[in-house]
Amino acid sequence: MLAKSKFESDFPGDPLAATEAFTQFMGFFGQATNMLSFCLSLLGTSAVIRTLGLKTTLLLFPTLLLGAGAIVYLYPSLEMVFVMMLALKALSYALNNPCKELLYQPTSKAVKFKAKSWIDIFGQRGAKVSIVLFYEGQKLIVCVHY
Amino acid sequence: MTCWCLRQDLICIVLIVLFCTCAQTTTTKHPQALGSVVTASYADSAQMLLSNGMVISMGLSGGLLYVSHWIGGKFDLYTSSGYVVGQEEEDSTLAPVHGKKHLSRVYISTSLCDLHSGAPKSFQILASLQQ
Repeated sequence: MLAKSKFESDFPGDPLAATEAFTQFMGFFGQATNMLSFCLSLLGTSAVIRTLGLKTTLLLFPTLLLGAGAIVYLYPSLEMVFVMMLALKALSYALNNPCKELLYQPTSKAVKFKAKSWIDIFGQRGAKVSIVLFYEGQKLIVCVHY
Repeated sequence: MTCWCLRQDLICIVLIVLFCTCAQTTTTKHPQALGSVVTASYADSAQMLLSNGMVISMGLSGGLLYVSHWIGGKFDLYTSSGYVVGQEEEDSTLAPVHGKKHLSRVYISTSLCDLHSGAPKSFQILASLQQ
């Protein structure tokens, strides 16, 4: 959204050029994210988990998210958001997701099959649906109120 | 007694599902979906999205820190003690050994008691019970 509004202001009256610039920007963002994730997964994930342990590695992502939030709050710009989002997305793919899967280690086979399939099918979709319901309910309350 | 055992199994399954759901759903999907709600709410102004969105993001990070700390602590506790979540459910389906119908229950309770000492003595106790 930030990038879209920036490119729209960079190319006033030329929606085609704005869309093209936005597409280029998003393409570059995707490439950079995937490259960084690939490098981190190849070289960093195992070493970080072995060095820090699972608990500290799990805490790493929210701590960095907190730091990134504070930095973007203090220096709000598209470039800063780009760098922070790049780092967070790469860390999410390379560190947070493997850690989440490792959490199934102290569970039995039955739990792995039952709980994991339940979480993947119902839990994750249910979480999204619950937030959508919350959002729609909030909109409805605002509509009724005004 | 059977009814109580079934109820215990049910409670156990619910706890396991809650544990795993907290680990996956709370740490990923809720914040993602909430982020989309925040983006949609401030769709009119990029400046408002940045300033307000970051405050919400920092609040969510605090919640994530708590959940990660709790889940990480549980993981460390279970791995150091050798406790396997859901193992009791599989054990309860086994045939009774030497007429001790609730041997699996003894195994579970002792393994839970050993969680804080750090040493998995459950197998020794189980072996002595079988003798």
